[in-house]
Formats: sequence, structure tokens, C-alpha cells
Amino acid sequence: MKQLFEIYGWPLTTFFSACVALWLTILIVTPQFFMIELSLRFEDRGDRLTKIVNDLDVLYRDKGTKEYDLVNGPACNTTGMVNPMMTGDSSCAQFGEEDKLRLEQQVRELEDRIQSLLVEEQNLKEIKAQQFPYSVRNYTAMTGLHAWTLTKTVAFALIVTLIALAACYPVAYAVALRSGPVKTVILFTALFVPYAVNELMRIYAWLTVFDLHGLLNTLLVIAGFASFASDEVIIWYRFPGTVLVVLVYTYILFMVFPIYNTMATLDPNQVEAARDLGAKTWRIHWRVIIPHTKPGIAVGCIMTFMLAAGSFSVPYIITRGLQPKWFTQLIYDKFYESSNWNLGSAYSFTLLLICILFIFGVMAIFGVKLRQLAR
Amino acid sequence: MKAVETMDRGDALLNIFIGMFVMFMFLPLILMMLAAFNSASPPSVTSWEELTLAWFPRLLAEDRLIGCLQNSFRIAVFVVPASVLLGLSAAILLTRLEGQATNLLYACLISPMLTPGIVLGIATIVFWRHFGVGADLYTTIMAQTTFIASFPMLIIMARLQRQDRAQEEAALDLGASPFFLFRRVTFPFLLPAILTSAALAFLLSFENYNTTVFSIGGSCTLTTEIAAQARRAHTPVINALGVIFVTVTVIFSLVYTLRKQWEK
Repeated sequence: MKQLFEIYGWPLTTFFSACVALWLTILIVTPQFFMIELSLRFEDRGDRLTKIVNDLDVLYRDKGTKEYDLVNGPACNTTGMVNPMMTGDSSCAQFGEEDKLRLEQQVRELEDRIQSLLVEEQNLKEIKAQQFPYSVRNYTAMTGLHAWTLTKTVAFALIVTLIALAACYPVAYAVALRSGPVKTVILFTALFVPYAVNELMRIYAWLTVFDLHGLLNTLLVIAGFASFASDEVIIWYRFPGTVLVVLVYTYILFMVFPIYNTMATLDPNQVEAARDLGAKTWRIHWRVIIPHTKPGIAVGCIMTFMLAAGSFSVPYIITRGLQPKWFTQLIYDKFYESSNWNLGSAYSFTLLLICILFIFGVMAIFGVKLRQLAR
Repeated sequence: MKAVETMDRGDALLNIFIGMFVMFMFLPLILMMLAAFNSASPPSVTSWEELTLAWFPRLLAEDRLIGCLQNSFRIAVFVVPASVLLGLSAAILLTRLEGQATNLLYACLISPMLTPGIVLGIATIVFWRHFGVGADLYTTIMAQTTFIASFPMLIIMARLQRQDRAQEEAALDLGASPFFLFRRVTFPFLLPAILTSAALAFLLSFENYNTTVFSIGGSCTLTTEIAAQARRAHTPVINALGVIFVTVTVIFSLVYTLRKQWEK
């Protein structure tokens, strides 16, 4: 701290500290805390209090209508014109003293019911306020179907990570250690272009392959296994495999670049020395290259898993509603369709917990520290 | 002699593998781009009707898409300076502070990069709802800044670590005020890193989908609109947009690579 003050002076130091404090509190920590807090409040949609609140809404509306009728007459407005919304000829002329008394009576009855419900609501609210508001019911209430969806999503993310690792290690090795300078530049650019193309465009591109009249079905027709004329074609979007392929395609390059970046810092002489000393190829990888590349492999695995498990775009575009929803889609519905934010927050935090566990697992397996990760 | 032969065979296999890998990465993109020049709709490369450029002008007629594109820019205008400022501040603090607390601070500040985008979006809308702010462009700006600021932080930190601290001390010894020192020595030194991170922040903001779609509510950006259209219908207009995206990316990548080569 002293060093900071000496070099940047107190106005700048205070300014920088304030910026970081804002970032930490308003953007990172407090929102997560609020989300967790919300997820621990269980909202019972079927309890008495919810019913009272709904009933009260209906009663207030009824009372409002009747009071309006009392003042203006059932089918008239103040100018004496017939309200076009009302049917029938019950015009102002027919609205006598009797009707008025009847309406007043009804309004009084409604008022009584509202009063009694308000008292009950107040009591229930007081009881609820005294109760401990937190429970883990949002977490334990996950239905079997949703739990299965979560398992499937995590399993797919793990498979994607493993496929990406198996495919990207040789690729990174080829670019970093087995190519001359020109070839490295060409290959690097060839990998960088699809990496930099917008994620959605890369996903969208697969529709050309999987469509009813897409590449795959056309190849099948040419090979004689299918026919467009008699509609004997495969609806590829129905198979979860399509999501897997596109997940691999979309996030695989997040594995290549971290591995490549660490591998490129390895002195090729070390590999030469190992070879001169008689080490076989697999042994060079196991004892020289992989130990050096570990931080890159760890970062690649973490990024790929996190992106695949948390991907909303791939299942959203690829399944086209023809497959059961993915876990991220379930979360989206909790916020934007059935609007149960408490449950949605619980699902979202579950996803985050799984990613955190995965990060710690990977760091333990590869023996790397957090500080080594982000380079 | 035998060892050399197996090595060559290994390299040949490796070359075949990497060739297939690059093909796998490019094939869907090439198919998508080809379909944009076919008059057939839904887009196809297999049932070729007629070579056409008609889908490109149609993009300009997509009023909603253009409105969403403007939203993307509106968001980026706020996200880029905010991210660079937060990243710069954090980089300066982290470089000059020492001790265990710094490691914890560092872990907290890079954690948004390792958090699934949708979780960031959700936490943001839950937080702002407490203050009566509904999900809209504003919440998206907040949600995006949360994780985008980590990237400038890392880029600027890397450059700060290469700074010659003697320069700063010399300036102070010669009587420069700390503010003068920052303006005339540290800031110019950091400028390339700041510009790079601003460009990166713009790209990350402009291309972001998963965080945006969870925090934007009923509004739209270019990416959320592309996704919505891609799910609803499969139209060659999106392919035309794809051609533009890929072309721009290729040009930027080539310029970047060539410049890097030239600097060497």
C-alpha cells in the first residue's frame, strides 16, 4: 500500500482502489450473494398465503366494478352514452332504487370478505416473518426429470472436454513443436479464424449439415439409404448426438490455444536432449512436454467444460424444440416463462457449484495453482 | 535409421490429423457461406438453384435486426470504457500490492472469467431487481462488464510486469508529482496494452450471447436476434450475415498475423 501511495499519490491510489471496490462489490460479490440468498427462500406456490393474495386480487376487482356501476349505472357512463363493452339494453332508465340497494348490499358483503381475508393475511405474514425464512427446499425439490437433465448436461460437458483434450493435444503439439516458422504462422491463422468467428454463426453453420435437405441427408440419398421423394430421411435434430457434435465444434478451440501457448514456451532443445539420451516418443511426451504444458491443459479443460456445461446457445439453436430441454434452457424458463426466480437461482447456483468443483478437481489432478492458470 | 523412419511416419500421421482437424473447423463455415449465394430458401448447398447476391441487400430491410445491432453498439459504448478502467485499476493494485490478501483479491477478480455466462446474467438481474431495475440494456451492460473487465486486467498486468521500475523512481527523484508521473510515464507505457484490451473488450461485448440473453429481458442485441431467428426459421438472410462476419474475421486475422510477422 505504501508503495502505491509513493508512486501514484493518494488521489490516484484512492481512485483506483474505489474502482476495484466497485467492481468487487456491485458486480462480482453482492450479485452472487443475492442470487444465493434468493435460492434459499422457498416459495410455496400452493400455500394458504398465495391463495389469499390471489383471492384478494379477484375481490378487489369485483368491488371496483360494482362501485363503478353504483356511481354510473351498470351500462352507462357519465355522458349517458351506452357503453359499447356492455351487452343488453339494461340502460340507465332501468337502473332503479332497488338495483342500487342490491348493489350496495353486494359491495358491503365484498368489503366484509376483504376485511376478513386481510386480517388472515396479516396473521399469516406475521407468522411467516417470525419463521426462519431460509431452507434448502429449492435444491431438494428438483424433480427426477430435471435431475436427469442436469446429469445429462454435465455428462455431455465432460465428454466434450475429453474429446477436445484428445484432439487438441496433438494439434497444439504439431503447431508448437513440429512445424517450421512459416507453417506455424499458417496453421495458427487457420485455427484462429474459426476461433474468432462469432459463436452463433459457428453454431448456425451446422444447420446446413443437419437440415432435412442438408448435407448429411443428401449424402444418404446419394448412397441410396434414404429418399427425399418418399420422405424417408432422418430428422437429425432429434438426436442428442447433434448437440454433442456442435458443442465439440463450438468450444474445442478454447482447448487448443491455452495448450499451444504453454507448449510454445518449451525450449525445443529439451525435447532434443531427451531424444538424444534415448527416450522414446511417448516418454518424451510423458516426462518432458506434458509436465511443462500442465497449466495450459488445466486452463483448456476448465474453459471447455465451463462453456459446454453453461452453453445456452447450442441446445437452443440446434434442438429446434425437437429434444427435451437442456439444463440451461430449464433455468431460462424459470426466469422468463414460469417466473419462479427462487428455483431458477437454485438451479443456476447448482451449475456454478459444479463448475467450481470441476475447477478444483482439475487443479488437484494437474497440481497447478490458481495464479498459474491465468497467463 | 529405423528411428528416423518411425518419426517421419509419426509426422505424416500428425499432418494428416491436423489437416482433417482444420477441415472439420472450416467445412461448416464454408457450407454456410456457399448457401448464402444460392437462391434456394431454406438455405442449401445440395439443391442448387441459382447463383445470386439477392440475400445481401435484404439484410438492410431487416429493421428489427438493425435496431438490435444499434443496441449492441449502445451496450459496447459503455462496456468498453468501464471494463478498461476497472481492469487498469485492478492491474495497478495487484502489481504493487503484496501478501496473501492480494492472492485472494486476484482470485476474486478473475473468477468471473471462470463462471458460466448465464450465471453472471442471472446474478445481475436478481441484484438489480432489489433496486427496482428491470432486465434491459442497463443490466446487460453490468453483467458484461463483470467478466469482460478481467481481460484488460490480465493484459495490462502482463505489461506492467515488464515495466522498468527505475524509470518511475528516477522521475520521482527528479521532483515529478505522482500525477505527472502517471500521465507522462506510466500511462504512455501502458497505452498499447490499453488499446489492445479496448479492442478485445469490444469484441467480447459485441459477440457475447450467453450472458446477454439472460440479462437483457425483452430487448435484443445482434446476437440474441440472430439466435432467435436461427431457431425460428432457417433463412438465407442469416447466411448472408454469416458471410460478412467470416470475411471481417478473416481480414482482421490476416492483418493481425502479418503485422506480428512484420514486427519481428
